[in-house]
Amino acid sequence: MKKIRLRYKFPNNLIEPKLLFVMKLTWILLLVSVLQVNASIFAQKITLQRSDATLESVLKEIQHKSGLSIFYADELILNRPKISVNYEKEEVEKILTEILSKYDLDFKKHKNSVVVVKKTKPSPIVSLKESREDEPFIQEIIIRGKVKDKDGNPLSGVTIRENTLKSLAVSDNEGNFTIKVSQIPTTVIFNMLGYESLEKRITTTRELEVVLAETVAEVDEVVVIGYGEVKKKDLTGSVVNVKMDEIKDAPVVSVDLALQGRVPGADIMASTGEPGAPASIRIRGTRSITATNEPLIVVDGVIDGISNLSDINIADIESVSVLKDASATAIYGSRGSNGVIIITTKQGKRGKDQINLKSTFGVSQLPRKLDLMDASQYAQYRNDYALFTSADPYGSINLNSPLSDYPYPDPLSLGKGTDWVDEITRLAPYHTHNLSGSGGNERGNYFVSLSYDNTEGIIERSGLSRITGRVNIDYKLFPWMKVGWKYNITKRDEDQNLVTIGGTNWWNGAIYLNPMIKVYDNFNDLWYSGQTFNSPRAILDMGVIRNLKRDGSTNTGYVEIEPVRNLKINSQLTYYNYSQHTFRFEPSTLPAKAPNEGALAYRGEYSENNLMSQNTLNYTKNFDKHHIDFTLGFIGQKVWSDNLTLQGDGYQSDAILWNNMNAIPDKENYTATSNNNNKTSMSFLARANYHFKNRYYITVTGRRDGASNFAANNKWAFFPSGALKWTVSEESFMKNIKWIDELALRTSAGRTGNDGISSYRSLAALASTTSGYLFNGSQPVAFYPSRLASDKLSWEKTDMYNLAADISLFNRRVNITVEGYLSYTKDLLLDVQTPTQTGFSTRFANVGKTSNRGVEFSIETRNIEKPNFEWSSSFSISHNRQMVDDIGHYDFVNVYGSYGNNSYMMYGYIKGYPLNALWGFQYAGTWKNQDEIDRNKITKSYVSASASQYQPGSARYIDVNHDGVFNENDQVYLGNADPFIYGGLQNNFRYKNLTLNVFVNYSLGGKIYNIAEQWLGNGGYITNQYAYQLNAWHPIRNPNSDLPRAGSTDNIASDRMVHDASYLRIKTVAVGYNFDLSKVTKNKLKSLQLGLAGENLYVWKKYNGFDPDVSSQSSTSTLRRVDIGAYPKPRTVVGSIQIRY
Amino acid sequence: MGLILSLELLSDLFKSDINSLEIMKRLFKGLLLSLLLVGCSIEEEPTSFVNPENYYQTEAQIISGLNATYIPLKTIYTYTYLIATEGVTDLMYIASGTLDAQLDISPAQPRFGQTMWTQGYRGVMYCNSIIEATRKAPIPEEVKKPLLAEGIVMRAYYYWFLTSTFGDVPFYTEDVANAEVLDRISKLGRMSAVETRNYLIDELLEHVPNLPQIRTSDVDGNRCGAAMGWMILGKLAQWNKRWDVARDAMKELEKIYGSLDQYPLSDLPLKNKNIKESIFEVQFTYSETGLQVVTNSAAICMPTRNRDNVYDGVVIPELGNSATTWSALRPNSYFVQTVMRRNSGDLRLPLFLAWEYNGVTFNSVGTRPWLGPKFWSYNMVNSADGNNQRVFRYADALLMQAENYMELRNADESIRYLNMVRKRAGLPMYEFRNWDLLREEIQKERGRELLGEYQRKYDLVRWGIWYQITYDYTDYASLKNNMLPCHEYYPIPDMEVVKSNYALDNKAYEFYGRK
Repeated sequence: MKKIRLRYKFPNNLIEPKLLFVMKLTWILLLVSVLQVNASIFAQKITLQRSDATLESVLKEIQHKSGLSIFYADELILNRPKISVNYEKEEVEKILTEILSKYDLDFKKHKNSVVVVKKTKPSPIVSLKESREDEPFIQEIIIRGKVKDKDGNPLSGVTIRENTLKSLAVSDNEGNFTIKVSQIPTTVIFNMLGYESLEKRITTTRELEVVLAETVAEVDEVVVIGYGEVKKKDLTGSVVNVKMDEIKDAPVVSVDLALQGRVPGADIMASTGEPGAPASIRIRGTRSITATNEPLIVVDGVIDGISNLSDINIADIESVSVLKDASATAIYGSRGSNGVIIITTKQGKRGKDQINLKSTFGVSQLPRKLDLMDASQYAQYRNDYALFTSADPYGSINLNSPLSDYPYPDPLSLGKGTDWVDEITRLAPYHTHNLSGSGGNERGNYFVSLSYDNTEGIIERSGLSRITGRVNIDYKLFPWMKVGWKYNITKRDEDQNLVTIGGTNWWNGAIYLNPMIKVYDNFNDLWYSGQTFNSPRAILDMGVIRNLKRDGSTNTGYVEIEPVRNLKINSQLTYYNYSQHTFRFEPSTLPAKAPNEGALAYRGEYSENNLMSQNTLNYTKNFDKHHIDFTLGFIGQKVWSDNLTLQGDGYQSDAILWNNMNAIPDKENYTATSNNNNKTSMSFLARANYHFKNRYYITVTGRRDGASNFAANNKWAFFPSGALKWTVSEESFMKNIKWIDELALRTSAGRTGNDGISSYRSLAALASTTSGYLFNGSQPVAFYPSRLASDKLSWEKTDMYNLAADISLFNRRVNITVEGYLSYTKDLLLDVQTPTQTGFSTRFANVGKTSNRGVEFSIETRNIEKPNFEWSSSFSISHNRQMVDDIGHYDFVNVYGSYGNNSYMMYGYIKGYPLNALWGFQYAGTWKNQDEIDRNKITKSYVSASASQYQPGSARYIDVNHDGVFNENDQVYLGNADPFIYGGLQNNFRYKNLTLNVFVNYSLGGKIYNIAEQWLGNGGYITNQYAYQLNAWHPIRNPNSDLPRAGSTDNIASDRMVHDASYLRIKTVAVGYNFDLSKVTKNKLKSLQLGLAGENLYVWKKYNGFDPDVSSQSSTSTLRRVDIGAYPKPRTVVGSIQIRY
Repeated sequence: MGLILSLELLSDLFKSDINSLEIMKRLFKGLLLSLLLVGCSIEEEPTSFVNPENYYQTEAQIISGLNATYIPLKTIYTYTYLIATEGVTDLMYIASGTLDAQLDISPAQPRFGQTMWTQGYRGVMYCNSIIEATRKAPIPEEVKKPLLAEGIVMRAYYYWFLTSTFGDVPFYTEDVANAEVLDRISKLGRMSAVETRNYLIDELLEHVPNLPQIRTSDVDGNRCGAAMGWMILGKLAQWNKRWDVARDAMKELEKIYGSLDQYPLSDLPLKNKNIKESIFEVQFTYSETGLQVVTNSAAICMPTRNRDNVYDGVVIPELGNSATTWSALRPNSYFVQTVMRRNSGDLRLPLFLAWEYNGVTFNSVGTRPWLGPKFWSYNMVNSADGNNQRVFRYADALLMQAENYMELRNADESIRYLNMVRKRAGLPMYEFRNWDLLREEIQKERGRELLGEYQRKYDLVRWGIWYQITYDYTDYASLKNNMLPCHEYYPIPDMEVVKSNYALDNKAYEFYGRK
């Protein structure tokens, strides 16, 4: 298909957006043929002397000298014979007429612009002045129609012309057009910037309906970067622009969950499947150990303007940019080292007002179960335990005892028993409703939206409802001044989990509970010698409340002035207010409570305010082939927060909840806390871009940050960066290689920071408590040292180097980006473990170094592009390797240890190993007989955790150093929690009005501990067991088994509990059908779109827990893929209906 | 400048809209603030916490610092500490899931040793901090002296606890005020417990006289006073075999407490709090609707509850029907057959041991009784034991004095003190036969009088007979299998050894191959 591209040419000294605007206007007016001649501009006299010049250059010169904008289709002007002209102070109109007529061309004019067209009649000058729609010499075949995008929005400003080039038309605001054609059949061509051009064969005069597809990788795509935006082709840093189209239908509350697998270099995982739970995002790896590793989130230019991403309604988001390399992020200084996610919300678009209503309904469910024992299986297991234990009341059972002596003489009669996971989970409904409106004219535009989400959790009585509202207004007061206001309000109401499926709470987590306990029984006989407990069912049924309400609102006002051409000054002020209201109640009727113990009530009030002033100055200048622009900025920010909590215990009425907390029987039972936090920071930033002929680019940025939370001796920080880019495809030697549209090489280097020091962290502090020791029957306040002063504390520094190539092939149908990076982080803020003989267990210091290196590859293709069928794909693959290079003078830092008194390191840092390394003992099966145990006393091949474990059937481990002693020297590296590669594959199909989007993501090569196996698969006797424990060692039944016998639990984490965390997930499947309603409803309604989407539909995995894609420790920042009983991610299926007006 | 401009323009823009106007007003305030912000300081002034430099200026503030030094006691005095001090001795055993009961411990598996180490040193650090702050505080000397002395007594207690439990341990009195001190303390290895005790003895001799010489039960809040000071001094001196020092300290106690006759046996049950005889009690309380600061020791000191208020087949209404009982601490046969026989006429028997209750015999007392009502927690809910735990009491001091005189070869005085305790217990007066038998009788008397009072293992270790006597007399096979001479002291947790960069060690455990 030959593509005809309509290009516009413009004088260098005009800025583009203005021109676009003029161009569109021109066409609109052309359409209705109201040709108002601006006499003065066409009558002005210019001098033009050229010899043997191309027509293009001549027109350019006329344009330059007259100030006229001249539009033309390439094929009319390019590759025409050269011309010589010589005019001395001649009228522009005359010059144009004379020159163009030599090429059999004509022009149409309006105000300050002309459009070059093919000559349609012998005498253009005369006809221009008398032109009418019904030109007599054209055959009067009029074709009417309407142009829309694939969502049914009308497209205005589309040029429509006959392939004979004889006739031209432009669509109006409603997308309607009328074109006169000379004959039928004929072919008309539709063109619009940003859309694929379309050829349509016309055989009848019937009204046409044309849908234009957006170009996928358009050269002029604009990408939002820190404190500005650039055209994608001028981008020097590593920035990924996420396509909102593909994710907007995902049934998730916050946008981060929808980004998973779509951004190369961003490892995104759900922290838990709880509704509203934020994702844990790592951009190019984890670098910090105690400070946060989450990227900085910037919404409409505002830092700290949301509490988490669930504050933003996905439908309000216009674009998401992910900034990855130092060149892009150094402008965010001490906040930039974890990458930056910039979210821009929608603005109204010029054109007809639009109203959009969308409702979605669906359900979610627990996608899978664990293979645990049921009641009869567990009874058999308990019988085995009775055999092996010498403790009362089973002490007398031996191998010869009849079954009737065992605690469960008839295990099979117990059947399935209670499935505790079933008892607390449910099929949870989901619905969301979204109403938005937008519109605008030349002077202003608006976007408003209102949405309501209600996501019930798959665990009973948990769920989140959310209301968000947004108003975005821009208004052009004067040609040189624009003002705007953005307002966002979010109200979230969350019923938090009351009970857990897993976790480390082995005494009441659903997977751990004895299946022989009846659902409504509240006695756990495995807990010590049996104890009344609050069974999950009791907690759900008795009226326990854990509610959290969060309100946030952001106000941003800005004014942008352009005092002289190309200089823009923007001043923006943001006030963000966030408050959190916590309500908790535990009624007095809970089974484990004493008869008169009373109820527990808790209230918390937290408020946070953020006031930020951002002032930037931007200047752009083009001269000859040089382009330069620079940005300067000053930012001041003040964040303050207040917290107040009150807890009372012993309330004698369950009816009043937390509403009369003074009705406490004993004032000793109050616990109140309050505190205040302030942080002030100031930043100066600068960026300069230069490029020569769109070929050689250089970018330099710098930011200086000062902040109150930095220690006294380290108040100011400086973060520089630089980038170079060479667009090879712009070189003349590449011009002839037609199949390469773009080939660019980029490199960057720079320093960014992580100011993970919370306020006051560098100051010494005494803590106080009133729940200390009793004096005279009450607990007077006690003060004790809680923190050491460290006046040298500093921010973490990351130096990052990036090398990348952007390749675009075959008419931009294949777009490839390849990136490689190295990053080194030093001065890590570490809560270093200290010997507790100091009275402190940790101290905070700048110790340690980490490094990350990786490669990223992404490819987007448009495989098939037919009017009725389209297929496009995108695929990404990333690899990152993160290492601990230094942890000071410590041998190791234990980040997560095993259960029990003796907490051996399961996750931790050792120099020279991956940051997310797994550690543990090497499981070596069980002792089979006493002989083996005795022989081992000499060979020292194996070792058991304690003296009592040297028994047949007990677990043994490899004695690494053959010293016969079980200790941390026998622990070995068991693998890396980070995947070797991860990424996703998106496929989009469209057949006529039916669309299908399928997204698959994957992660290969990581390791994960099944932490729950410490109880569920360790021969434990206090919890239920994995069914595989039925094959545990038994002297008669299973003497060769390598699974530890019943009751032999040793609380040791070993490689037996380490699993491959690889998975392949059908993450999102969305089907949509678009009905065009404009005809049926006579333009009252535009379209009706029906959709069906599924999230987390299926996962292939090896892990024997619920899902390897969990990170329950995301709040501690470093650990990834740690499954401490995270709420499993639900499988969700939703249907949606969307109406556009 | 730009900000002011924006404000005016925005106001114009939204003039017609009331709601917007409200918002604009807020924005206006914000804009003004923003202008101020530019001149804002980035210095940091804490608003919600204090630091040692600006606090500890008044007596009340110092007392609030002293209050903190007692906090670790709550965590130490639990059922596990009771097992560790009483359940692995000649007196008692416990077939408990808590592996401290069978001494299945090693540096790599320190069990309760980790808690004792951490809490002990937390206490030391708190004491060092407040002692330093008291010294610097701008208050009159006469106010300062008793405050300082209380801190010093508490510090001496924690070092007594640490050296009795772990043997040689790092000793320092410096306030860990900054990272530099912390690094230095981190590198301390084991230090001579004898020298540590000598230092503490001298310090106590200097400061205890500054405290009011009254019984602890007369001290407001039952804080550590002079009585506790002399008692710790005596304990430390006995460990160092400085019998004369110990004797003098006990004399001071005798001055305060006087005759034992005024302290009836019937006061001894733990349900009686802060009895006059007490030298120190760790305070606990349980109120169903009020304050709950509890331990769980009683859960291993009561007959097994079968159902409701039936305990091992006997209805005990006082114990209630909601108590959780765990595997119980039971006397070894040796104890009930040799040390404290059922038919010995010892008046302590019905309090200390229980074969029956209200005349009804328990089901499982064929070989050994349960621990008696002295230890029970009445109407206990689950394992929440609100009884105070006795650290020291006067009878202990008198038996110490008997030992001091015995070691000083003053038989008359020794026997006089021994008989004070025997007299109250209704036992016949002891008469001197030879020194060894006297020593043995004092040791047995301590076993009887102080049964279940967190003392026995320390005594046995101090006498150097712990391993042999426990091995000989324990009825618990698992303990017998596991126990080694190195278990007389808990190992320093391996993690601590590593974190100290191997400045610490566990040579005794390495010797026995129990790393």
